[in-house]
Amino acid sequence: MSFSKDKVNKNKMIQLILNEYESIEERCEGYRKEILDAIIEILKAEKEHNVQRTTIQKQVDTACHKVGDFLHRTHDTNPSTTEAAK
Amino acid sequence: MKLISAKFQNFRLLRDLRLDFSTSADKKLTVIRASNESGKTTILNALQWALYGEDALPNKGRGHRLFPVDWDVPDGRAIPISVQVDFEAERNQYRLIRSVEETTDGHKQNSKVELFEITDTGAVPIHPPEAQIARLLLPSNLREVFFTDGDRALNFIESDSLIDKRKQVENAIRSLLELDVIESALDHLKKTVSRLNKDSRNIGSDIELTEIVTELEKITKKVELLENERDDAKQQFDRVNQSLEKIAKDIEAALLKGDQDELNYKLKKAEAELQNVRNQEEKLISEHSQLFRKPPLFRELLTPILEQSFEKLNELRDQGKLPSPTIPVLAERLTGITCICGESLEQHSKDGKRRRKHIEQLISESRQADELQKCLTDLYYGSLNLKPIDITDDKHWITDYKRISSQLEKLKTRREELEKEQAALEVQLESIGDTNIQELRATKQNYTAQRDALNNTRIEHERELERLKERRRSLAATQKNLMTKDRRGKQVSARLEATGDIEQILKNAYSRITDEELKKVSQSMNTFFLEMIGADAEQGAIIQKTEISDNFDILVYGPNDQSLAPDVDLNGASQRALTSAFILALTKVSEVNAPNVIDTPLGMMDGFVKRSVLKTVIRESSQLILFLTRSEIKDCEDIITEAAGHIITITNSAHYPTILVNDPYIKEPQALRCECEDLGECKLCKRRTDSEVEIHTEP
Repeated sequence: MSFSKDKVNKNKMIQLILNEYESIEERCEGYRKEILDAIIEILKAEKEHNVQRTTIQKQVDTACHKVGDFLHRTHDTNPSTTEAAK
Repeated sequence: MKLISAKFQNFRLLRDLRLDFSTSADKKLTVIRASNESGKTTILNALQWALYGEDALPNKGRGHRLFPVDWDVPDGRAIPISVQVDFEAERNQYRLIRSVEETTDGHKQNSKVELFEITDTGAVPIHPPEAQIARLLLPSNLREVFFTDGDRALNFIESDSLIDKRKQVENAIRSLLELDVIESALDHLKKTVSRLNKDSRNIGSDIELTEIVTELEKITKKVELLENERDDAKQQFDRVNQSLEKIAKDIEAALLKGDQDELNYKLKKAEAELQNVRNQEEKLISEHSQLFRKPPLFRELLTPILEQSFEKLNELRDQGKLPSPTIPVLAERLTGITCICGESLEQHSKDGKRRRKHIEQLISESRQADELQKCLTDLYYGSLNLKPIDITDDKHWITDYKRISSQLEKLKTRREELEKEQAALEVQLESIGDTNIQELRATKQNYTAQRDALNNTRIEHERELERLKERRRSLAATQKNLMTKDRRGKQVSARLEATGDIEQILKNAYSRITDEELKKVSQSMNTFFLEMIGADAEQGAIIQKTEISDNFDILVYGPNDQSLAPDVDLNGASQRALTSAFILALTKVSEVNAPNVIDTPLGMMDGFVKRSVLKTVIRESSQLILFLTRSEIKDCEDIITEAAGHIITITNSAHYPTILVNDPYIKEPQALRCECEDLGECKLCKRRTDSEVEIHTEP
C-alpha cells in the first residue's frame, strides 16, 4: 500500500508521525516512505482492532516484515544504493 | 465527519421525526429548540444509539426501553424501531441505518445495522458495515466528548472522587490524542521484535548467535522492567514534587496569615491587657461617680450662694442672735440658785420663787417668738461643713474631675484599640483554621526526603538503562554481523531493523503528545475559559488561571496562585463554562473534525457568560448542534440568528392544553417538528405565557 494523504484521515497523530519519520535513517532509497506506509497500516489496524477483534499481531508483524523485506531486497539487489542512501 | 440529517421511527417520543443539520462552514450551528420533556435528550440518545449501538444508551441499554411508552400492541408483537443518520466523512456521503424490534416486555430482536455510500447513482450498500463504520465515525471512546449534555459534562470536574475526575479527564485526553492506539501498537511491535529474535535463533548453527539472542532477550526484558520502574519513580517524583510545591505554598500562605503559636501568644497578651484596662476603667468610673456625691462638688457649685448666706449668718452670729443664747442661758440659770444678776433664785424663798417664775415666763416667751431664729440657728450649724474654704488648685473638685475624665478617655481609647486588635487576631486565627505550621514543615521535610530518594532511584535507573542499552546496541551489531553471513539471517536482520525504526518513530510521537499536546490542551482550555467568563487576570479577576496538571486534574487558580476547587469555589455557570472550555480545547488540539452535539449547554447561565460561552463554542466547533430551551435562547437570539444554518422547533403534542395554545390533533404523545425556521412561533408551537400556564394549571 502506498501512502496517499487523501486516503488517510490526516489527524493529529499522523501529523506528529510525519514530523518524526524524517528523523529515521534512509537506509535505502524509498525506505522512509515504506516505513511511513507501514506505520499508517499498523495504526489503522489498531483502530479497527479496538472496534472488532482482528488478528492484530499478525497484521503488525506483516507490516513490519514488509518494510524489512523491502530493505533486504534493495540491499541484496543493489548494496551500493543502500550505502549511498546512508 | 459531519452529520447531514437524521430520521427517527418509534424511538420513544420520536415516532416519526426528521432533522436536517447545517453542514455549511459559515453557518455551522444547528439549533434544536425544545422545552423540557419535548425529546431533546431522546434525540441525543437516539443519535448515539444509531452511530454506536446499545453501549451508547444510558446504562449500556440495560433495561432501557426504546419504543414509545404508550404503544398499545397485543402481547408478543414487536414494534419496529429505527434511526437513520446521513453523514459526510472523507469527502463522501454515507447513510447509516440502525434498526431493532422490541416487544412491550423489553425483548429486542432482529437488531441490524446497515451502511450505504450515497453516490450519484444511489445508495450503495457496504459489507460488512462494522469496520467501515468504525473507520468513518469517531471512535466510540470519544463519543462522550462530542455528544454530551451540560450536566454530564460536569463529571470532568464534579465527581465525588478525585480519582474518578482524573480518570474521566485522562480518558478523554488519551482518547482524543489517540495515546491508547500508540500504546497498543508499541506493545504489538515489542512482540514482533521478540518473534524476530526467536527466528534468528534458528539461523545456521552459530552458538554465539544463540547466546547473543538469549542475552538480548534478557536485556530487553530487564530494560522493560527498569523503564517501568523508572517511569513509576518519575510519576511518583512528580506527584511528591507537586505535593511539595503545594505544601510550600500552604506554608507561605499560612505564614502570610500568621504563625498560629505566635498569634495565640499575641491574643492572650491582648486579652490580659484588655482585662487590665477594663478593671482600671471600672475603678475610674466608680471614682468618677463618687466625685458627684462628695461635698466639694456642692461647695464648689454653691459657693456664690453660700458665700452670701454665710455672710448673713455670720452677721447674725456676730450680733449674738445666732445661736439664740437666751433660752439655754436662762434654762441654765434655773438649774442653779443664783441669777445672772446675782440675786437669789432659791426655791424656798418668796423672791427666789418669783424670780424663777419670771425666768420661766421669759423662756416660754422666747420659745414662742423665735421660730425663725431657731431655723437660722439650725441652718447655720447644719451648713457649717458647706462653708466655702480656701483650697489650692490641685485639690479643687474640677481638677479631680478633669484628671479622672482624661484618664477615662485614655483608657477608653486603649480599650478600643485592644478590642480591635483582639478581633483582628481572632479573625486571623480563624482563617488559619487548624493549620499548624510546624506540622506542615515536618510534612514538607518528609516529602523532600521522599522526592530526593525517588530522584536518586530515577538517576540510578537511567544509568543502568544507558548501560544496558549500550550493551544491547553492541550485541545487536554483533548479531547483525553474524546474521548477514546467511541469506535468511539477512532478511530477519532487515526486519528487525525496520521494526526498530517503526518503534522509534511511534515512541517519539508518543513522547511529543504527552509532553507538548497536553500542554496545548491546558493552554487552550485556559484561554477559552477566561474568555467565556470574562475574567481578565490583569484587572484583578477572582479567577486568574486554569490548567490541566500532569496528573490530569483540572485546576483553577485565584489571585496569588491561590488554588480554587472547581466544583466548590466556582458557581454553576462557571463550572459549565469550564467543562465546555475543556471539551473545546481537546477537540481543537486533537484536530478531530467532528460535530459537537450538546444538550442544554447554557443551563444556569445568563447575561455575559451565556452569550460568551455560546460565541466561543460556535467559533471553535467545526459543526455544532445545540439542544436549547427557550430560556437558554433568551438574550442570545442575535447570536443564534447570525450563526445558525438551521433552527428547528420540536414540540411535544402531549403539552396541549397545559402549555400549548392550539390542539395539534395528535392522539399519541410525540415529538413534532413544526414549520418554524427561525426563533418565532407558529400555530403548532405557540405556547401559553407563563402566567396563563399558572392559571390553567390551577386546580
